[in-house]
Amino acid sequence: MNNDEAKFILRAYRPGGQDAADPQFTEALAQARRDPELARWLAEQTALDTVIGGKIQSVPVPADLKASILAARNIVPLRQRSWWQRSIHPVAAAASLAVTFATVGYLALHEPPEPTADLARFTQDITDYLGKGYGVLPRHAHLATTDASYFGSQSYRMNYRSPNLDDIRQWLAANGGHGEFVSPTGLKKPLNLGCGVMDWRGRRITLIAFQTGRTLPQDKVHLVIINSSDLPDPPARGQPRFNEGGDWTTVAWSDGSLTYFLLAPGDRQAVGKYL
Amino acid sequence: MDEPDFDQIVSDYYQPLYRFALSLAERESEACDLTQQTFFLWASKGQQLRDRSKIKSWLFTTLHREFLGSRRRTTRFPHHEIESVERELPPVTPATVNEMDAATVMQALMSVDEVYRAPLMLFYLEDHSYLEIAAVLEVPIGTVMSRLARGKTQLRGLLADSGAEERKIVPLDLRQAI
Repeated sequence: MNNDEAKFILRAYRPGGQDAADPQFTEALAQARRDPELARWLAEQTALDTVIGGKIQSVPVPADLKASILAARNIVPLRQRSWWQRSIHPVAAAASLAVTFATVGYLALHEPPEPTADLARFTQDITDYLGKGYGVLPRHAHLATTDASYFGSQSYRMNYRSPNLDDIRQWLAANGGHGEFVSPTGLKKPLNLGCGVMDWRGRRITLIAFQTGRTLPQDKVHLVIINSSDLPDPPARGQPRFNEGGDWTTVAWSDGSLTYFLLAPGDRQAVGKYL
Repeated sequence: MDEPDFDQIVSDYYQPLYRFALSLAERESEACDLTQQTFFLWASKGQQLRDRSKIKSWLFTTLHREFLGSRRRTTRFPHHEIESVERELPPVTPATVNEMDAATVMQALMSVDEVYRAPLMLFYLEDHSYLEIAAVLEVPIGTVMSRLARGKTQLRGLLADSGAEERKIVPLDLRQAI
């Protein structure tokens, strides 16, 4: 082994000495002990690696990241034992079954009628879903794919991400979404994009998130698309309907066969700039 | 056998995972997302891991796969055979780097070619041996060593450039005094 080969191997040698007993390094380390020039090189290399490692390990981590991960635990499917794996007292099991049958029977007789899947309901459900943070999922809205069943502090999990609008269109077209959508004028050049295909009360809808700036989640705008024929009362063409509430403003409009619903932080004026 | 507590696993690994994600994705928001997604996958699939001593490798491997998946990578990284990469390196000393702040060093690392960045980051997150890096990145050991060697050469050059840039910046009051 010459010094070049020894250096090549020793570049993978960790500065903390954890690898001292690894046979892969034995010969190279022995050579460094014999050769002063190689020993100097190794000492300098190790010192440099120690400093760089220290710097890298001191890179700050967002203060709320851990809390977000732990909070998300409550809504992701953590390991749960199946019912047959649990030891259930027979009396408790019988009581539980009785309560279940009674509850199902009561709900069958008394459950309120399904609300109409109209524009107002669509607005309410999507605003609940997007505007109130993770963990808020309307009873009738669920993600169409299991991979997307994730909510984080900054966003739910997108099915697909790309900074390129054409990529997003292609992915949506290939996955049952509305790839032919017309992007609002103020959202032509986002920093990043994410999209998902979802099911809302039996209707297929497309969700697109536009990252418009560096500050999240403030610089995130959501566009939800549904076939106009899936709503009994889609907005009239050319007549966007604004709805201000809380920290968010929504606007809905129709174009061609599609109805668009845009939700963004801020007031009507702030949201209007995207149209 | 006692199962590791989810909170404990998060506490043990979320910081190095985030830093690894940041080196790959280069954006804080995406790094947070990758980290969170990794723990989501752990929560939903981690129980399938029988050897609990491999939790760390599982998490880093998963995060790396998620990153690659998000980029829809279609080209394969070139496989570099073991070869000498020794050449005249730019002058950068531990003292020079020590004067830099963490963000500058991280920025230099994020400027290293992507193919070298992941093994370098895992190396500098210290707990990873070359064998573990090979397992996380799913590449042969020789490739890890080659990438570490080349990546360190690149990083050294970038740090030298950063040091030179920092020396060009002279505080206003000093400049006026000259």
